[in-house]
Amino acid sequence: MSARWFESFRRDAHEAVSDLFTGRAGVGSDMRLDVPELLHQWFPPSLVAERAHLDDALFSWLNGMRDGYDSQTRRLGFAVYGKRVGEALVSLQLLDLPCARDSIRADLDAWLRWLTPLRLAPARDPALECYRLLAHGQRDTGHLAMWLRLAADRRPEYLTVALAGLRLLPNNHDARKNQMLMLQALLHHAVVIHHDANGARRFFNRRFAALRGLFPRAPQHWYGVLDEVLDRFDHIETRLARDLVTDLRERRPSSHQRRPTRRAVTRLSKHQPRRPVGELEWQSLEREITKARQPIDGFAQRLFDILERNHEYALATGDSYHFVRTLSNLGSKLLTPRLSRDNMARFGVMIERALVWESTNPYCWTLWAKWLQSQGRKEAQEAVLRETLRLFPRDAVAQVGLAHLLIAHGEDCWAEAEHHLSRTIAEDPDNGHAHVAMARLQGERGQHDDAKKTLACFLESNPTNKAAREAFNSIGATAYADASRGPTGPDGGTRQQAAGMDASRMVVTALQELVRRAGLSGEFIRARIAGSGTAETKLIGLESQKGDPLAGFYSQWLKLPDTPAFPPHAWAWEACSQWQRAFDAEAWDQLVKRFPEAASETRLLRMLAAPSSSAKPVSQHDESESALARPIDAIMRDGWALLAATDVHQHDRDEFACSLMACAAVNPPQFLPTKAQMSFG
Amino acid sequence: MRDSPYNNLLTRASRSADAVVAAIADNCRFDERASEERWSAFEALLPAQGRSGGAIAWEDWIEAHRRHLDQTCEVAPPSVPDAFLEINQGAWLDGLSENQSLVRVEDLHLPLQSSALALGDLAALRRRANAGDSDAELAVRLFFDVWNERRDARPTFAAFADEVQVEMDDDDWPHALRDRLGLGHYGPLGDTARPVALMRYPLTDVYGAQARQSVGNAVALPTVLDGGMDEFFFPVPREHAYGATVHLVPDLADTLTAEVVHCRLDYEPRHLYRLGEITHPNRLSDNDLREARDLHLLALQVACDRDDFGEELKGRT
Repeated sequence: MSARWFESFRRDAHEAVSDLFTGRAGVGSDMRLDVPELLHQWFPPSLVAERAHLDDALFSWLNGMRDGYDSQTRRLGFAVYGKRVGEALVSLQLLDLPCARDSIRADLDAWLRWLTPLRLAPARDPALECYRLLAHGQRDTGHLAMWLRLAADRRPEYLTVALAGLRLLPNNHDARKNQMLMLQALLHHAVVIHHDANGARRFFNRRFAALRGLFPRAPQHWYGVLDEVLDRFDHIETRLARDLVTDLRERRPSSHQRRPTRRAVTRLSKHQPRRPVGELEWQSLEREITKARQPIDGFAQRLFDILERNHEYALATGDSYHFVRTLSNLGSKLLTPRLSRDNMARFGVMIERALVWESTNPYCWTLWAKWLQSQGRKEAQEAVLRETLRLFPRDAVAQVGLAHLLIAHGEDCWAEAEHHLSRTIAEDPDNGHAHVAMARLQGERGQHDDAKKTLACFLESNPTNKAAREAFNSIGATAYADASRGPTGPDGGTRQQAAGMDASRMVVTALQELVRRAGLSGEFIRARIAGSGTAETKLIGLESQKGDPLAGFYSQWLKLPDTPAFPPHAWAWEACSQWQRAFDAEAWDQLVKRFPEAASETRLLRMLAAPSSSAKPVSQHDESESALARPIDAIMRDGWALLAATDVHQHDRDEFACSLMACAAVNPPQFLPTKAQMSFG
Repeated sequence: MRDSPYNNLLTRASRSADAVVAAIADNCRFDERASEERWSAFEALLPAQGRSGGAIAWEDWIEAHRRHLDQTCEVAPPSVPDAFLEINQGAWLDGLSENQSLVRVEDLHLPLQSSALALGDLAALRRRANAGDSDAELAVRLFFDVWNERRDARPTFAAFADEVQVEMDDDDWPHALRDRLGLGHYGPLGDTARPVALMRYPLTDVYGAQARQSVGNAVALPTVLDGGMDEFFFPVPREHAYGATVHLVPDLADTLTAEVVHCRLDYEPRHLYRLGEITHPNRLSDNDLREARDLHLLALQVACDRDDFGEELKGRT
């Protein structure tokens, strides 16, 4: 041990830790060890108080590096900066220091936003080190959905860490749960990285064998586990997934084809979770709700019962399909101001749970916006709608909902409202709600004749549209404004403010982040509408200086003069800069190599950017309703269609590229559940 | 000693009462292998002034060393450390017979932790794999994949297997090899043993790795700028064919064992020769260190017939 350094640590732990990373500690041959190993060697478990100080000092040091991002990256360069940050995270792993780990866990989204762009290589990836850190010391299954999402990343090292996270999930003495989840993760990864069932099967079998090596069990046990996982995987509606499942069932060694013995079935059934409530049952409830008029609280209770059971199933198996589909199909029908306060609160919890599992599902987002609207929380509602549009730029419900909010904000926001509505109408000329909102905007501007004309034209081709008819009839009347607010506008009924929702830290932190993102996207859209140099972009400037990948992309797209250099792993930011330069095939190919997780996005952009592309590419995208389908997959499908079309204007290419890169710039926030959300009811 | 504006600083440090500081300063003063270009790159990282506004201090030197290592040595693949770039061409080592094997002692603590395994688990998996259990074989391979993913591309110090065969075969090989190869930084992890692996691999594998990575050169002579600023490293005269490790047993410090650095190699299960644990630290006290380094220096002077190389620590003030 370096006694001198340890003395300085006792005097001032923070400075000593800082000296260690900068090298000023000067610890001789120990320099041959990396800082994590050094600290691990110096702080055995017996030094309880010192380890607590180190825990605190490392966390402070990391925070200092985050706060000093701009100056530190200028001074050290991204490679050294990222290396040192990564080493601090590895130190926390090696020493198993709980306080810093818990603090990072509680605010994970912000940490990942900072760490993700710092990746240089698999061996130098601070975000990956952060995930590794969180794999240890898990007290509940709160990260389950996160590990499964991580396993769907194309990069093998992410799969490895996801498997470690699933392997270390608390299991109450039943490792079978972990085994099932790991197999599920392997299946997801297999279909993400392979385009054919043969390749996917070979990959799966190899990793499956390695798992069996770690958990030596009789073949009967393992094939029982696999059967269950394959049954669950069936509802992932991609051709490749179906082929893989069939392949794995059919190509099993003949000795394992037979069904398990009665004894084995009895033994296994004790451990199996209750089956989820199937589609037939909730469809029957849906029909009853549609027919019924009053009251709805009884239906809500029945829905919650179904949701509870399906959520229980999701927690036990990692399969959220039934839970989220039930909520998204029935939720919007029941979420009205007529619900009681308690049921409204419970609804909020269900939506939060759905976001934990599938933050990439547009229905969860619009349902959340609707719930926030019912609570009268307009700022939050706007933030959620803006994020929805970043992730799903063609979501008409979000576009119209946001337009209504912007109209209500006043004249300064009307140009943006018009922008959203024009886009919706251009994409879907039969969208009655968009036309009603456009007429409302025209009315607010005092252009009543235009408003009447908008609705009259629309009603000519859509004479039975009830919302447009009501709005048309009430033009000029005082009730006009209320009638034209449409299904996503502020409701006139009494608000049933739900109790206790603000206690959820997940919601508070996620909403704070969404409000920040909304500020950025608002500035971005207004700047694009206003043209260069006339709109306020202060927030984008500030955040891009901190290395925020979304702000960086916005700044790059707008070509703001103080746009900083992009960090080593901010795909959208860098791709945008590439998009703006003259076409350089080699530079695009480099980008494909450096961002394997965004290889297909890069290839698509490359083809769109190419001055002439003779070969029409074939999309490798498959329709997927998986919980792990990414928002960008839908945008990609539009991109392939654009490539296949003839006479595409540069403007359309630019619009598409902008949507794609904005969506990919940053993931949806990590929704980490509280205990209440995991066990409500 | 090369002509440098920092010679005074180094000479002062080499007179330090702290044997470690003196040893590191000596390494910088005695090095004859690092090119002028590499030293210039290093010195460019030194501040114009020390923290208090005066001349730069030893801490500034060490801080620059840390940053230099971070930037040019401990780089992430596919980046290549300076040791194998043209800037270090003078220290490249070519013309080696391919039919020889290298050995290296690896700390397994982090790799085991990455795979959530204990040393005993890995040993058991390996036994099962060797007995024909294909699942265990794949689990071992997966361990290596995870380990390789986490390793950076820093120059790999290695010795030649045939030269240290006796220590490799020793029942207590972890300590025997640790001492012979001058791995003074390998001690127990606080109260617990440090798990280590003895890796043995043919030089052809290193050349294969070089070809795959398109690295300028596969093998080089270690210099002080490749991670040699520690008390257990000792530069060699330019006439000496290889690097030479400092034996950690004072009486044996005149044993010169050849060492080289080579480019990153992805480990494979077949490279794992033995598993073991380091349970106690090396026994070099401050005084022992001075004596051991002086004995090592004498051996180098004799071997190269260079009485003018280096300077004894004994008697310095």
